Amino acid sequence: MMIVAGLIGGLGLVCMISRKTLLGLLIGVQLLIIGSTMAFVLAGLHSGLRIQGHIFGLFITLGGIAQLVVGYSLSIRLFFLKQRISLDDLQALKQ
Amino acid sequence: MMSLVFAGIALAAVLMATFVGHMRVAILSLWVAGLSVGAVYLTLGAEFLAIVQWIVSTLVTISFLFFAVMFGEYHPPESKRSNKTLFVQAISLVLGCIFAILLGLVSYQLPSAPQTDFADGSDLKMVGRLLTQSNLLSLEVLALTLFLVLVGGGVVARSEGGESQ
Repeated sequence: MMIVAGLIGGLGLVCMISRKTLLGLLIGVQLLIIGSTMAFVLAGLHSGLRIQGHIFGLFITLGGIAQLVVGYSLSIRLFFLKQRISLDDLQALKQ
Repeated sequence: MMSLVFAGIALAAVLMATFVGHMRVAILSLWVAGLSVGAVYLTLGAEFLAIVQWIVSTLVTISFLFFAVMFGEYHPPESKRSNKTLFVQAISLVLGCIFAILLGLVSYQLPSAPQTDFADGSDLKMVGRLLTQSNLLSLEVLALTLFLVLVGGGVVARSEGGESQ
């Protein structure tokens, strides 16, 4: 089962690298978060610290909401600035 | 046994979300993956985390769909893929496999038999007790982070200074 968690996280990494849109990037981050949460729950289950694994998973899941909101905010700001959303235009936010 | 079935469904949905061309199908596949992982949590005795995962997955899917509609990412899939795209996908696939293999190797250090005796009380009761007694500061930091992200997101996403003005 831990292999499944690793595969989910690894495929999230694949999605982050290979997708060219900002939404694809956010989907990859979500998959990575799901895989890491599953890994913590399974590790807690196997090591006898079941509830601690759940707590870690809860914090990771809720922290994922924060990164999602940041991603949305940056993309909306980019849309106001450039009238389009492209990963290559994200560097414009540094100016 | 049921957890393996749901894990298989989750893995298939994740594969679709990663490689399918249509963004709408990818978003719905992400939703199925989140629901399946929540079902895995349910079969492993993590009821509270399963409910949180279902709620978060559903809200994330809805927001992704709104996002895709608002900013026009409903474009058709590319009919012809360049060699560079295939190379990047191959490299990323290798990196993803390395990630999964490393996690699998680490899991061999854990005890093989999972804990199946849940006689220490319900999941919600234990999680609530542990959150309030041992992880209260972490919970406060998380709440403050989410609050700051909410306020900061509103500030960052302001409309002043665009090319339209």
